[in-house]
Formats: sequence, C-alpha cells, structure tokens
Amino acid sequence: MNDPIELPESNDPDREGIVRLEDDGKKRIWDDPANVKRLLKIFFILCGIFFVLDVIFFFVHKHSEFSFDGWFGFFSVYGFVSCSLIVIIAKELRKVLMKPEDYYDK
Amino acid sequence: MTSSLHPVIIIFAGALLVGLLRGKLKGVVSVITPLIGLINLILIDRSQSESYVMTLSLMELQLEVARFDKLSMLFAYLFHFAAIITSIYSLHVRDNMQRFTGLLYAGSAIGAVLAGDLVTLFVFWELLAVTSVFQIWARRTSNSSASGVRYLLLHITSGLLLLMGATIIYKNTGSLSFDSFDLNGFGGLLIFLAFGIKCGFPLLHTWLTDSYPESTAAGAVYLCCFTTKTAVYAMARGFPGAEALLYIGAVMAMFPIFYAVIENDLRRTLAYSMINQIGFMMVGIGLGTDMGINGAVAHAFNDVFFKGLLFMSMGAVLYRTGTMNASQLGGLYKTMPWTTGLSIVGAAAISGFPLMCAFVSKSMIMVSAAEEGHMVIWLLLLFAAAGVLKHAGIKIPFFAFFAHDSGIRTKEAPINMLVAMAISASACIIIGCFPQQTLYSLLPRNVDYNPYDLTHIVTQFQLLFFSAAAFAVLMLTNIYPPELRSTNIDFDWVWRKGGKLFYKGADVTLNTANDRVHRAFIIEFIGRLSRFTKAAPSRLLVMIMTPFWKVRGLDGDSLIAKQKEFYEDSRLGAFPIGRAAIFAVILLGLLYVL
Repeated sequence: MNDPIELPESNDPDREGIVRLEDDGKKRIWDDPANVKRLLKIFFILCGIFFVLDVIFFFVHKHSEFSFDGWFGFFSVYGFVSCSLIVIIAKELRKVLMKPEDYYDK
Repeated sequence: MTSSLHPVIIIFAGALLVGLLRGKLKGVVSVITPLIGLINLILIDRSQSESYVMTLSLMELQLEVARFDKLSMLFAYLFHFAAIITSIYSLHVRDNMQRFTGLLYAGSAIGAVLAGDLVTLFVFWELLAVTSVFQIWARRTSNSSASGVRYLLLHITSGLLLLMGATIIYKNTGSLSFDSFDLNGFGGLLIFLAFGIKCGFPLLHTWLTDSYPESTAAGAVYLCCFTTKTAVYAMARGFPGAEALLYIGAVMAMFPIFYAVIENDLRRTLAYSMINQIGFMMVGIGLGTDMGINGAVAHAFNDVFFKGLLFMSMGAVLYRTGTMNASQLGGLYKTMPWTTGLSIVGAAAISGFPLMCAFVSKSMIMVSAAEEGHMVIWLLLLFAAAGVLKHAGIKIPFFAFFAHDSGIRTKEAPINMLVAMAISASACIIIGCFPQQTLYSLLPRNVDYNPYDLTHIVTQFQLLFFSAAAFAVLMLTNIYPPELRSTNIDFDWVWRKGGKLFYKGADVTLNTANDRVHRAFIIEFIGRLSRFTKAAPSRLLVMIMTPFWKVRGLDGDSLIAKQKEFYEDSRLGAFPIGRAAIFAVILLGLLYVL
C-alpha cells in the first residue's frame, strides 16, 4: 500500500533535517481499533446533538438572512450534502485530470 | 517618543546585516530586526494623526513613499508579525541567500502596502517578485528552478501591467496617487489584472499551486505570508465594490476545492486552499460594503496565522521526512506530537470553529453577502466553507499525522519551528476569543459586529460537524478516493504542455520551411550558379575553338579528346605559354579596336 520514499535531490538544503528512527514497538492510542471506534461513536453522538440543537430556535429567535436558512436542520443537511458532493465530483474529475506524476517531465 | 523613520529602511538594513553575519548573531539579528520595525511602527502610529504621509521629491515627481492610514497600518502590522514568525521558523536555515532575501521580501511587502503612489507601489511590487523567487530557488532542485522561472515570468508580467496602467492613468488624469481606480478605463483594467495575477485569479492562479510545493520548507511559509496578502490589500485599496470581484471571488472559492481533494502533495493542497481563501476575500472586497471590506482584510490578516501555521506544520513534516506526498505519509502523530497538535489548531482555525480566528472574519463576508441579497453567492460561499473543512481542516492533519501508519518514525520538529508554530497558534486562538480587543480595533471601517451570537455559533457547529460526518461516512464506506501519486492537470497545462506543443509545432513548420529553403536556395541554386560560373567560360571557349579544330581536320574521337583536354586546361587556367600568348594578343587587339 505504501510506496517507498526516495530522498530529495542531493542539492536540497532540507535534506539535512531528515531523521529516520526504528519503531520503538510501543502501542500508541490509535493503534487500538477500539479507541478509533470510541472516537467515532462520540463524534456521531455530537453530530446528533448539534442536529437536534436546532430545537432551541423554536424558543429563541434565529437570525435568518433568507427564508430557507431558518428551516430546521438546514445547515446540517447543507454541510453533509456539500461535502459529499465535493468528494464525489472530485473523484469523477480524476478521470479527466489525473496524469502520471512525471507527466510534465516527458 | 515619536518616529518618522520609514519602516522599510529598518527591515532592509537588517537584511543587509543578516546577509553579512554568520552563526548565532545572524539569527539574533533576523529576529530582532522586525521587532525593532514593529516598535518603530507603533511609535509612528501613536505619534501621528489618523492619516499621515512621508513624501520624497524625485525630479518633478512628488512621491508618497509611505502613507499610514487604518488600512495600510493593519497590513504593515501584519507583515511585521509575519516577518518575526518566519524569521524564527527559518532560524535553522544555513543558506545565507534565503535568509537575506527572506527579510528583503518582508520589507518589500511592507513597502508595497505603505506606498501612497503608483511609482512607489511599482518599485516595491517588482522587488516583491524578485526577492520572493529565491524562496523557491533556494531548494536547488531542477523542479524548483524551472518552477521559479515560471513564477517570475507571471510576476514580472504583473509588474509590467501595473506600470502600463499607471502610465495610462498618469497621462489621462495627471495623478499618480494610489487610491481607488475606475475599472472601466483601460488603465484601471490593466492595474486590475496586475493585482489579479498576484491575487491568483482563476487561470492566472497557476504560479501559486506550481511554486509553493517546490519551495523549501521555510520558503513556502514566507510565500504564503506576503505576496497574496499584499495583492489583497492592493485590491481592497484600488477596487472596493468592483462587481466583477464578486463573481471572480466565488469562482476562486469554489474550483480549488475539487483539486484540493484529489491532490497528493499536501503543500499543493494548501496552495489550492489558499486560492479558496482569497476567493472569500475577493467577494468581501467586491461587495464594497463596510462590513465586506472589513471582513476581507480581517480574513487576510487571519490567513497569515492559520495558513502560515498549516504551511509551517507541513514544512516541519517535509523537513523531517523528506516527502510531502499524502500517499507516503501517515502515523506521524507518534513521533511528532507537538507538530500534530499545532497543525490541528491551524486546521480548526481555518475551518472556522468558534473561538478560532476564521470564525470571526469569514462570517463578516458571509453576513455582508447575505445582507446585500446575493443569495447564490452566499450559498456558494457556504458550500466552499464546508469544503474548507474537508480539504484543509481534515485532509491536512489526517493524512500527514494519522490515516494508515506509514511506518515512518522520525524526530519532533526543531525547537525554532515549534516556537514559530506556537506563536501563530496562540494568535489564532487569541484573535478568535477576543476579536473586539485585537483584530476588530485595527479594521479600517467602523462597523459594529459581534460574531458570537447563538444562531451563528450553533449553525456553524452544525455545518462543520456534518461536513466532517460526510468525510467519516465516505471514509468508512471506502467511497473516499485513495491518495495516489499523480499530477492533476490545471490551467498551467497551457504553457507547460501547450508551450511544448507550440515549440514542437514551431519546430516542425519553421524548421521544415527553413530546411526546404536551405535545400532549394543554398544547395541547389548556389550550387548551380557556382558550377555555371566555373564552367561557362570554359564551355564558351570550347564552343569558339571547335570550328577551328574542325577546319584542322579533327573529328570524332579525336575532336572529343581535344575538347576535353582544352576544357580541362581552360577550367584550371593551365594553358601552354603559346596559347596563352595568342589569347593575350587577341585581347590586346580587341582593346585596340575598341
């Protein structure tokens, strides 16, 4: 899955900063899939809470500039749809735009 | 205490010292210089009235070499902060050229925003181009030198357009002052384009995404702080309320998002993100309202801190691992925890989480767009705001520090980098938490705006959390496109491949034509001509002599042999003495007759 890293050209002054160490064998927090699951759980619960938080605007005035941005859940849905669209469109664009890495060198 | 010393003088003097000094002293001077400059600026700010100019007479021209009002002062402060941060960040750099030109670059940016007339602006505008390119060339790779040349070409073009525009305006109005211009005049249009190149207008943006990833670790931080911000200032000064900027800005906010998602090089992703952020600023300037202008310059101010912070964290990763490819990175949080944390602060800041700086500036532009009734623009900006979280807020820290473990184990970034990042991160949080006391007090227009109302906070959290949720869902369902090593075609195809095509086309047509003409004229025609001039007199002589030989009774083979012999003799000019003498006598006789 990983491609090997070739070192920068020998002229590159930033080469001097490169440090490669051996793995110390310690398990870190995200090495445990249970922790990742826990994080995702918390995250989705927070999403739920923020979605439902729109309820408070039944009691408090919601500043809306247009009519639709006052609808229940508008920003949640808009955020989700936008982000999904961006990724899906970008993925399709790859078919047109993507060329090999050395495209311009040839 | 008062001061009337031009801020650029301090920075340039410091730059010269940095160029001459070696070792620790060089580092000390490079950090202290912008600090002294900052104190000088505060003294000027304190001692002078609302707006104040420094003038210089040059022949019959009266130049305003420095103009201090609220708008230019905000950027002058910003660039001093940026110079301090970049100087600290590049303390480890031993390359004297980069350190020296780095400070000159900062000084040029300060000079450009303080310029009160177009001549001064032009001088610093060109200095900005020339000093900044060394941040790219300093990497000394073949890619970086080619990229630097392309960068310089566009930026010099920008300077020339500015000069042409200024000349036309001076001829028409007799004034060189740098205030707002009329976009309908030709001079104004040229200046608009000159600023547009440096702002990264669509199609003119390619220098940004081309050169930032090719510069050194510290170089990209310099580049992201000064050039585009100077251009945003120039636009805010020259073209507030230009309607074209609304649409240009909306396009700029939109199109880079898609590129950023599929880009593998994380610093190129940030460069696309930069165009997206400038898009927001352009919309603010295009609105032309007090709130819009304030929002645009406030966002430019914040951008130096959050985008600078992201570039610094990626620079640290590049410095430690030697690569910027998302496909090769991942899992660095294990060995670079501080860089990870600071990068996350930058990511949260650019995404506009409440209590972070973009929350208090981007919202001004959004609110102003809505108040002016630009519904479509508002919806596009909201779309772009969700996209920012995706491509900058999540992608940058996630693929560098988390994602799948790349197995790379390295060291934490050098201490000077961490300090510089910590300063920027603190600025992001302080501005986000106390906008009224910090950023808002510096803004050029008087607007009463409070970003922290309940609706704004809740809706912003909703937008961000659900954008992130979309990312999480797409990742978990494997719809999210994998990071691949690739080049994505952008508009610079036109001159990188198109240039090559043009070259090839020219090669084929012109060289073929050249070749044909060469063959027809040089080889064929001249050859014949020279053969003709060489052979004609001899043939003529043979023709004259043949009847005499026939009279002497020569025919057949002996005649041909005689002709051949004579022809050879005549061609070589080797006649026996007797024959030569006869010719000479005939010639003299002819002369005598004539």
